[in-house]
Amino acid sequence: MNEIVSAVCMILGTFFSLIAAIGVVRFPDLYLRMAAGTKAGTLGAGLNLLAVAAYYNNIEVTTKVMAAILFFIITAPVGAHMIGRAAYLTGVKLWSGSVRDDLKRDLKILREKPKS
Amino acid sequence: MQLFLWNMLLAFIYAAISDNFTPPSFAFGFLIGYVVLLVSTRGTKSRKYFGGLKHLISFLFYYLGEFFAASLRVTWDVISPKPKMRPGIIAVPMDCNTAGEINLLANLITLTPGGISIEVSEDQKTLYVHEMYLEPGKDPVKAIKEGLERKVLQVMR
Repeated sequence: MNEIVSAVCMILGTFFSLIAAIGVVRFPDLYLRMAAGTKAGTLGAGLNLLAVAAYYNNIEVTTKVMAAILFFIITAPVGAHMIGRAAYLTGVKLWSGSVRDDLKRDLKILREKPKS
Repeated sequence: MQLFLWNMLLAFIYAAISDNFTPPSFAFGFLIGYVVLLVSTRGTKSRKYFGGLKHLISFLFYYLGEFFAASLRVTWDVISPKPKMRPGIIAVPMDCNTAGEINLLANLITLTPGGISIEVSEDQKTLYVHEMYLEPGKDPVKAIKEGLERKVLQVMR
């Protein structure tokens, strides 16, 4: 039973990691690549860790797995946010198919306003 | 918060004195402790914890559902030969005030596939989000405000 749950988690986890890797190569600009990479990567790593917990099924391994997943969930979005912010403010362009950019509009207003 | 610590303590004691210290017995101890606290704090002021826990559980299920739906969507776009994305950056006016609320909302948006929070405006009232799917008919700002932000505020307040 444990082995079946573990195997299913592991297969799904590696599948999402593969999807993340393909997405990083295929998507057109940095923001979309990060969207594919960070999220599917978190899901893939989390599922693989769960597979380990399900296989061993004892408290020491389970608490370590919970801690590892917690730290993934805390750190991944902070990293993605900082990379995205740095990229935008240093002028990395959006993909030509993008339909809307509110930040550009608002930054322009801010820059035209004289500093008080 | 104090009641939560009490609940954890009760769960821990239950798991320790029942012979097997495993995650299921801890969860069962937590459940028993919850009912005991629910009964024993009747009539006192510290009732907020019980409502909060209900919100927290409903929020967890809502978020997991959103997370998997969005993951499948991104997965499909990665595999399909012609991706149908319409990305863009939207400005979301926030009702969140404190740093903790803004932090939680921004991180949760970044964690769902398809959205990355890029920047918080200097007056901390607007959040700029890079969204992967902006459908022509729908208002993405409204979707975030009425979905995720409402749930976050329910949990935090």
